This record gives sequence, C-alpha cells and structure tokens, in this order.
Amino acid sequence: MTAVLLVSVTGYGLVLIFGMSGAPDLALTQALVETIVLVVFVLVMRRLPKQIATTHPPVHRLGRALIGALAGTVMGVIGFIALGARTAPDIVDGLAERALEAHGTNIVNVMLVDLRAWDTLGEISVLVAVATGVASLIFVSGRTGGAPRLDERPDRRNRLRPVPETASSIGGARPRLADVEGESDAAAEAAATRQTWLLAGRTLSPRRRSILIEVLVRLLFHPAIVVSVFLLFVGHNAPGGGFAGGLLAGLALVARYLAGGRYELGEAAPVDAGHLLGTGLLLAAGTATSSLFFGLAVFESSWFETEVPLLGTISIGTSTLFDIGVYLVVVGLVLDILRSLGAEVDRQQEENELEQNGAETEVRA
Amino acid sequence: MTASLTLVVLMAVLFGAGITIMLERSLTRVLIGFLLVGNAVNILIFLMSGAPGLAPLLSDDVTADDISDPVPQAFVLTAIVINLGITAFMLALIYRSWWLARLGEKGDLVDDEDDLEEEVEEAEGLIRSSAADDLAIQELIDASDEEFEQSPERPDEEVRP
Amino acid sequence: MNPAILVPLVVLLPLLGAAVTLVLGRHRRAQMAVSASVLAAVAVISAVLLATVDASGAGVVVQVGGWEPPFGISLVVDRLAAIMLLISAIVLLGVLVYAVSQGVADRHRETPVSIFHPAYLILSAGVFNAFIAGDLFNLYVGFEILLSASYVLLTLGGTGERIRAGVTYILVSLVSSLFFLSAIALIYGATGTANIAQLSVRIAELPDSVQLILHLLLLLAFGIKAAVFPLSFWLPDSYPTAPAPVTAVFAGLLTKVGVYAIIRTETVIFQESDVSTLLLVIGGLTMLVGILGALTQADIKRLLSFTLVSHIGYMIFGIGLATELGLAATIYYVVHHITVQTALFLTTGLIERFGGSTSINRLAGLLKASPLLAILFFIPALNLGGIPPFSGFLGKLGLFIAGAEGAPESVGGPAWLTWTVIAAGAATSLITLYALTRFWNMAFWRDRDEVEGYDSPLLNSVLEWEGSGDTAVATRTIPVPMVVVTTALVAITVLLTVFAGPLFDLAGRTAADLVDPSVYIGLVFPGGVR
Repeated sequence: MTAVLLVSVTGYGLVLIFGMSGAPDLALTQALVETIVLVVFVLVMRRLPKQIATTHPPVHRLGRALIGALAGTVMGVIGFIALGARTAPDIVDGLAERALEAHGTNIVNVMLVDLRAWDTLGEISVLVAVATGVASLIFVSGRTGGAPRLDERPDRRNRLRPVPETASSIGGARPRLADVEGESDAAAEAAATRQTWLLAGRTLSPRRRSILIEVLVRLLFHPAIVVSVFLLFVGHNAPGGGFAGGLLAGLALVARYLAGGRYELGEAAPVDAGHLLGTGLLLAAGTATSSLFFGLAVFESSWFETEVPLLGTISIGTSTLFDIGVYLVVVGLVLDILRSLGAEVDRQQEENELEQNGAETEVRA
Repeated sequence: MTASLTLVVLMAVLFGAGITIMLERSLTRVLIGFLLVGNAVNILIFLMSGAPGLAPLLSDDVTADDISDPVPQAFVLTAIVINLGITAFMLALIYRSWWLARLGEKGDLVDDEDDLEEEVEEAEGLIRSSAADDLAIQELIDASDEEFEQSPERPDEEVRP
Repeated sequence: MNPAILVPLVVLLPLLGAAVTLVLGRHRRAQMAVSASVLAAVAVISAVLLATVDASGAGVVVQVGGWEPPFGISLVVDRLAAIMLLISAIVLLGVLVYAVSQGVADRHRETPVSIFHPAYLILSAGVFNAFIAGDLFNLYVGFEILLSASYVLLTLGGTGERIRAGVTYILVSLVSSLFFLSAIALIYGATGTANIAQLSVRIAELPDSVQLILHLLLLLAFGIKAAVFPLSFWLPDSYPTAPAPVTAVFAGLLTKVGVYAIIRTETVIFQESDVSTLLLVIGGLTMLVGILGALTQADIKRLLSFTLVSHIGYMIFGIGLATELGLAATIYYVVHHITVQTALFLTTGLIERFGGSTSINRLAGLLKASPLLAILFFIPALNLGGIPPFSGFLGKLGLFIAGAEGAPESVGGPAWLTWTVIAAGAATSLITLYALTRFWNMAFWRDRDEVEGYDSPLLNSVLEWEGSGDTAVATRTIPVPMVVVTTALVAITVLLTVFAGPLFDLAGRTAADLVDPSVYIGLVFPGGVR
C-alpha cells in the first residue's frame, strides 16, 4: 500500500512539473487521472489480503536493480543524445495558425479534438475496450452465483451480463423523476443500514456512516458535474476539454460511491455504463463519419456561432460534438470501473462472507 | 536543443525504479512498476518539447514564439489516458486472479469434483498410452506436466451454472 | 467514387459497429448481423482500394480533418497497406462467423458475446488503423487499440488458465508498448515530427549513431509484437489457452501487424540506417529456435504456436535481404502465412471439438471418423511445411531465390551468412513438415485401438453412425458454419497457390514501391517535404 502511495506521489509530482513548465492541460488531466487511479487502486487493494504483495519474496534483488539502473541510465542518455541531435524546427507557428483557424486558442485541445482527432478517436476506443474487459473479468463471478443472498433479485443472478447494469436496477423500476435528492437520501440510508447490518459479522472494522461526508458529497456533487460540463465546453480556449471534464464527472461519481456505497452509485448515475460508452463512441465516430457525407475530409470540422447568455459568443463545431463523445466515454469508463471494481466486488465479497459464515455455523452445528 | 538535466535525471530514476519493480513476480508490483515507467515515459515525451515556454493558450499577449511545443503535450495526454485504461484493466485482472486463487485454496469441492475425476482419468490414460506407445515415451515426459495442467481447460467446463 | 472517402471508413465502420453492439446490449442476433456486415463491408472496401491503388499505381492518402501534414494525421493506403487490409478483413470476417457459430452451439456456456462483439470489432479497428497509419504516434494508438482489445479477448471468461496466460501476454505487450512510446518520444525529440514520410527525410539527416540507436529501439518494440527471437518466448505460453477462434486470429494476424511495422520501419522510416545483418541473424535464429521448440510439443495448439514463431523468421529474413525480390517474397509469404496459420488453428478448434482433446497422445482414428477434417488439416499442414506446389513452397522458394541472388553481392550481410540462413530455412521447412505429419499420423491415421482408454463421446457416437454407412458425419455434430468457414479459408490457401503468378506480380509491384521510399514520401507530401 505504501508503494501505491509512493507512485501517487510521483504522479502528483508530475502534475507540478507539467503545471510549472507550461502544460496546464497536462497538469489538470494528470491530477484527475492520478486521483482516480489512487482511488481505484485502493478499492481493489482493500479487498485483497495484505500478504499478496509479500507472499512473493523479492528474488535477485541486485540483478533486477542492475537491470533497472541500466535501463534508466540508457534511457536518460539516449534522451539527451536524441534531443541534442535535433536540428529541425518545431511546428508551433503552423499549429498556432491552424488552431485559430479551428476556432480555438488552446492549441493542445485543438490538436486533440481537431488536428489529431484521429488519435483521440483511437484512444477512446481503447477506453471502451478496457471498460468491457473490466466488466468481463469482474462480472464473471465464477462459482459463487448460486449462493443465497439477502438482497436477492432475480436479475442480479444473471452473472454473464454483457455490461454491468446499474446498481439501481436492484431496486427495481422505481420512479426517479420525483424528488431525486430526497429519494437518493432515503435509498442511501436504506442501503447504509442494510450494509451495516450485512457487515456486522465482519472482523474488519465496520464501516461507519459519516453524516458530514455524506452532506459534503451531496452538496459538492452537482456543482462538480456543472464544472465538468463547463470544462468540456471551454476546453477549446482554456485548459479543459472532454477528458478533463469527463474525469471530473467521474470523480464526482467516485465521491458518491465512497460516501454512500454501491446503491448510492446507482442513484447518482442511473444509466447503463455500456450505453454510455456506446453512445459516446457512436457520437465521436459518427462525427468523424458525418463530414464524409458533406463532401469534406473525414473529421473536417464545421462551426456555427451563437450568442449564449453569460458565456458570450461561442462557436459550436463538430469538434465540440466529438469532445462530448469523449466526455461520455470517459464518464462511462469511470462508471464501469466503479460498477465492477467497486460495487460488484463489494457484492461478491459480502456474498462470500455470508457463505463463509453459513459454512462455519454448519460446522459448529 | 537541450533537455533540462533535472528532468532527464528524474526520468531516468523513475524509469529505472519502475523497471526494477516490474521485474518482480507479484502482479501488483508489476502494475506499480508499470505506472512508474509510464510516468517516466510521459516525462520523456514532455522533455522532447525542448525548452519550456508559456502554456500553449493563445491570446493577445501570447504568440507562437513564447509557448511550449504543444505536440508532445498532446501525445502525453493520449498516453496518460491510455495508461489509465490499462491500469484499470490490470486491477481487474489482479482481483480476478486473486479471486480464482482463493477459490482454489478454499476449494469449493462440490464444484471441482468433476474436474478432479477427470484429471485422474487423464493421468491414467496417459500412463496407459505411454505403455502402449514406446516411441512416445520421451515426448510424454515432456508433455505430461503440461497435460496435467491443461486437462481441465476445455472451455465448456469452466463456467458452470 | 472517390477512394479517399473509403480509407477512413475501414476504421470508422468497425468502431461504429462496436458502439452499436454496445448499445444493443444482449441482442445477439442483431450484434452478429452488425459485426458481420461491418467486416464484410470493410473487406469490400479493401478490395476496391486494392484495385484502385494497384490500377492507378499511386496510393490513396487522406489528411484527417483536411489538415495538411505534418499538422494533421495522414492515412496512407499504398499497395502494401491495401493488401494487408484485404487479407485481414477476410480472415477477421471468417473467424467471426466461426466464433459466433461456436458460441451459439455451446449455448450452455453463456459465452459473453456482448463483450465479444465490441472487443472483436475494436480489435479489427486497431488492426486496420495500424495498417493505414501514416503517423508514428497514430501507429502506436493503433497498436494500443488492438492490444487492449486483445487483452479482453484473451481473458474472455476469466478462467484461471486464461488469466495466467493473459498475464504473460499483457506484461510483454506493456513492455513493448512502453518501448514503442519511448522510441516515439526520442524520435520526435530528434526530428520534431511523427509523420512517417517526414521522418524518412529527417532521420536520414541525423548522425549515423543516433539513427542506429533509434532504429534499434523501434525494432525492439516491434520485435516483441512480431514475436521475433529472442523476444518470442511469450507467445507459445499465451496464445494456446484462448478460445480457438481467438487464438486463430491472434496467431494469424497480430504478429503480422508487428511484421508490417518492421517492413515500414526498414523501408521508409530508416531508409539509410542498415541493420540487415542483424535481421538476417535474427531471422535464422527465429526459424530454428522456434521449430526446435515445436518438436517437443505434444499439444497441437502449442505445436502450432511454435511453428508460428518459427515462420516469422522467414519474413524477417526477407526483410533483412532488403532487395526488391526479397520484399516481394516476404509480402507473398505474409499473406500466405496469415491464411494458413489461421486455417490450421481453426481446424484445430474443430479437432478439439470433435476428438475432445488437442493432445497428440489423446487423439486417434480421426481419419475414419471424419475424412473432411483430415483433409482440412492435411492441406494447410503440407502447405505450411512447404510442399510443392503449395503457396508455402512458393513463398519459401521466392525467399531463397532472393537470398541466393543477393548473396554474391553481399546485400544485407556477408554471403556465407545469407547461405546459412537459407539452409536454416530449408531445415525449418522440413522439420515443420515432420512435426505436422507426425501429428497427422497420430491423430488421424493411427487406429483408435492403439490408444487405450481413449474416450471421446462425440467420436464414439460418430463411429457408431459409421455402421450405417454414413461417413460424412462431421458436419452433423459440429455447427455447419464452423466447417464452412474453415473450408473456405483452406480454399483460400489453395487459391493463393493457383493464382500465385498474378499474386507474385502484385507483390513485386508492391515491393518496387517499398524499395524506393520517395514513392511513399511523394504520396504524403506531393509538393515535397519542407
């Protein structure tokens, strides 16, 4: 666990470096990514026994250290040589021109959603692939599916679900439109009490409900989503963009989950992660394809400008649509991770403990 | 163009440490190593923008001459996000392999009985066929340990209701 | 129709398909229809592209977003890319049908198809993207797409065996990706561009030593992906555990993407830097070490994985020769190998279903039970082993002739080295033949009674049927599409032989483009590189 924290420290160090050397977009994204990685890492590690890292005593410590040192040195030296050999100029001038042409002043974002949008499209397909992979690994819950469970609903027993359904589906078809806030409170409370009850038999320290944290999370959640949408739309001209926005929205979901458990997650995002991923990818790839129909090159952007109160003139382009696709995919990925590595893992563990308890009582009897 | 020496050294140290940790056997360690090396490579890409300048946000005061090379920044952004995805997948893999290992330990015997029987059968079959096929003895020795491991691999037996 | 419209579609269609299959959720029929039609469309598009490109003699270049290089990303389809697109689309489509019909047949297995379809389509998109990428960083992205999707497919079902195999594969891929990314960073640092055509010009201007370092680093990354000795150790440990169709597509295609990247590296990116001697040595070693490993294998899937590694050596040899003829033979060989290797793995999947095992010691009497299966295995096996007149023989012959022609002039290394590698190639061919016929003898020819305790319910039932005089029962117990697809692929391998003449001509024209990097550069920068 210390190692994880150490990695995080280097990750946040990177944030500082990026922030100080003229890369605000990188700093922002790196900070958000690092936080999510840390949380997810902890989510998984808390479930694994402590000895998992220690059962394998390090072997050939010296040898490995030598290889590592060698690799590091070689990389450093080559890096120095490579950069030293550079004679060709960079293409900043051209990029700046083209960024303005693409209605954006944040060159990095313009590159991501316009100039090099093809890379970004590939990148979000990577995200979609890993999201399905995470779901596939966790939701094949192996051999414990038949065990009796307390919060049993038929649909939860279907183990090989294509994509994890929302945790809210546990609660059946409940009207969500009404008083979302109040209802999710009630749901959280029900969930929390139920969980405490479930967790009571645990030897681990029982999870305590903290009213303060719940209130805080509830208060911050909606502003966070608003900010994330804001980041999404200002990305073209200021640090931000689909990735940063999506990650922030994801973090807001993470907070909800951490405070309220898996039922809370379902309430916070009552959508199917698979649909989110699919829609996002569809939007992104669709934007790319659509320009073909207008006789333009693939991904060639078009814009229209409008006056929006408060924000002034903004130009919405096809690249904005593309960025929304990116946003959706990132949110979908985080949601999927939380569903699988958070909620589903919780469920499996609880189920397992129930089983064990049952077995123990049987043995005693 | 020259690189900032501090950053190069930092990159080298991270890279070395990451590789060292990656070479360990535990999957968790490998992932930690991967994260370190991933960060190191990101610094490396970033280094390649040469001398750092202002943020690549154009405005009336900021012109193309003042800003850092944005191309590596776009690369790093892509790489960061890809690393996030891979990390999530690796974590799922770690959890899954732990889950399987634990199942093996605790041995939910009811489910495994068939597999065990089959392995025994497989073993018997092997022994007999080795007697029958003298020529293949050597191959069998090579193969038998694989056979034992691989015998229950038929996919239709893996997921049972 | 403007062919430029078609180029991005080969990636966009699979991605759109993946999105649609995700949204569709569990409607398996609809998903199947989407996946199959998408891949079929890509196959048609690739065929049109190949025809256009070959007829016009010039490749098709698309500047994404309409931004001129090096600011935007170029997608380049020249003859080589078009050939690779076409053959992979065909193979991917075939394997898809095979996989789905297998999944449908194993109904009780709850195959997580809705994970399978999106992952498979994304894998296809990654493969296609890697072939058309005109930008080194985009090539990296393409690789990441196909790798991340391949992680998912390899660990499908999450069984212990697959997880273990998956871990090896993922680790190796991660390392290779990190090297690739570092190489890109350093190359960008040294040249200020990632556009492949521009790199070709700018790298040549760098000092020789810097060129060599960057070159080796890039080769290291691609070498792992292509499973070249000594970076091939991982492959036989990881591929065989996946479901048969997944193994087939991995074995047939994924390593070839690495080979393709090596071809591009050698011909375009590092046009001046010469590592031919190294490639020849590596090629020879890859062949020998791989095939010697195959000899000790009793499991046919593992055996095939080793022959796969070994035959990558031929392609590396051809690239190492760096002559027009050598490259032409390599291209022909790549196409041959993709189809043959995939066909063999698919047949193995049939054997596994039919005989209940993939181990040489547990199979017998299959010839009697299913002559069709025997033929389906026998033809590609002979082909892979290089028996005349099959395409495997022609490909190898082409490589050897290219080597022999090059040897006196010492292209790519000292003459004795070339001759040694040719000898190694011939030996490898014979050993491959030996290993495969041994399997054939044991599994098909050997009488069932020779293996005591042999038991395969499926086979038994088939043999009972035989009493009634009906021998072609194979198709009764195995879903028809699986057999049809396998037969079709085997037929394609035969077609490669029948149309060897025109195909070799095509490969020759492709190689002529490749040996002159200015062709590629001229495509991307019609007005010359600044």
